[in-house]
Amino acid sequence: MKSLRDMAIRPARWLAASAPHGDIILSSRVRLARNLEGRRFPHSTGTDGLTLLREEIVAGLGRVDRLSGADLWTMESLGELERRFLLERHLISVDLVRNVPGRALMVSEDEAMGIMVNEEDHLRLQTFSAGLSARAALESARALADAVETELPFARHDRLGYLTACPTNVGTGMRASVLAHLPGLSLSGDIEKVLSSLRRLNFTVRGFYGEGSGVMGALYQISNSVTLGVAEEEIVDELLRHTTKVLDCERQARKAVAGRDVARLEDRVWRAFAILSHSRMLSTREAFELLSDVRLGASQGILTGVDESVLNVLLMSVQGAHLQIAQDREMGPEQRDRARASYVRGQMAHAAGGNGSVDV
Amino acid sequence: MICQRCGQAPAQVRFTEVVGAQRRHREFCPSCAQAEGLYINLKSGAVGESLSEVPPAEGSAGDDRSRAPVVQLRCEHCDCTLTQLRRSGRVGCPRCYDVFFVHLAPLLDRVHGCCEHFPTPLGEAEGAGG
Repeated sequence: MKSLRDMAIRPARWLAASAPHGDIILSSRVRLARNLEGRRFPHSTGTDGLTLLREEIVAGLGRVDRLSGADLWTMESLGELERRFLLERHLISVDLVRNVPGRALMVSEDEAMGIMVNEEDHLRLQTFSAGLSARAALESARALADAVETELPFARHDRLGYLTACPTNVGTGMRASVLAHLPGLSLSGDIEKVLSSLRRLNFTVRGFYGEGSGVMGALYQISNSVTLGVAEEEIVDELLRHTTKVLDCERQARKAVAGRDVARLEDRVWRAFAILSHSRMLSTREAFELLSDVRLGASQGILTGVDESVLNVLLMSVQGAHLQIAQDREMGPEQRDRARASYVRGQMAHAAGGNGSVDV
Repeated sequence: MICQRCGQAPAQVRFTEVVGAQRRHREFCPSCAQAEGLYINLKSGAVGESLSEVPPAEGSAGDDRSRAPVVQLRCEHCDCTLTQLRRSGRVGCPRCYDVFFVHLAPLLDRVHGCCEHFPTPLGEAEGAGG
């Protein structure tokens, strides 16, 4: 079994920069909520019951070929820092950071599949893929759910589909989402217009960490909110249709921002690059905002010779728990800011081709 | 009649639980009724499962000691009540969907625009109109 530190120093594959529309869409994700037939949902089950249920679920998952080689962590076996690390990694929810007994996480070797056990539902199956690739994420989510269902029969209703603890998830139990980087729309001032039209179309827009999180670094999670009465493919197709429109708007906005005052945009991008390359203290939020500017600059040809995959990986690895797990020591906020600045300086030199310079 | 929960105060609320095909009657004083999750207007004695269901007090209606009838739905399998469902927004087990369907339908309709899961397979939607 690999350690969390192995994960921390190795990027998640779904952050690969060369993916479809990877300049704007960092990743796609599909989550299926499933519950065991005839059992109380986790929130109405006591701790002992949850622990027994987890044993049963884990035993069932152990018989799924597709999950052979997957790692399993019970939440009790992890400290808070480690659970925060998994939250930053998008593998568990805030609920699992806070509510520990009887909960668990299973993750496939390549981190493309994750299963939360006893979160709001008995099983939350998640699949991740790089760039705009929600169909691929759906296919693997379905294959995973089908394989699990042969071992652990799911609660289904003849008129309501898959049953979930919260009626907002019933039917498909599916949430399909993309993680979009929209700095052009943020700078042009059109972001709210685009986001509110997505909301009118029954799509939810959240920040980097999903539910309840603020926006950092112009990163937005766009997902469906309707799960009942629609087919899974239809949900994904609609997500792709709307995301493609957002992509067009973002590309136009990037051009417009550059066209309006290219010197100002260049200055913004180069300043961000300079701070990331030379600062001595850096908060997560500041790092995200600066990485967002540098990423924009790289996509617009302002910064050439910057390895974009390094920038994507930085968005994950500059986070507080990632830094601490990677460096194998617990740090206070100031120490973290210093360690983050030092780490980012090294990575920026690497991103710029190892000699600390980019083509001007 | 003394409250069947605290065994001290006079009962003012007649509470009926519907569990499957059975009905169970219990009598509560106002504060125990509230503790059981029932909203109650202490002046008028009016009871409901949400504040909007409780009519405002009128004049000295507080003197009216007649017991207000209340019906509470409870899932036989997991003990989840309609009041708990309304408070938490979550059902207790898969069977709750049948027990509380009448109460869940408006929520499902508001969130999903429908109350049933019969998705049209892709490719058939266009031909459906005939």
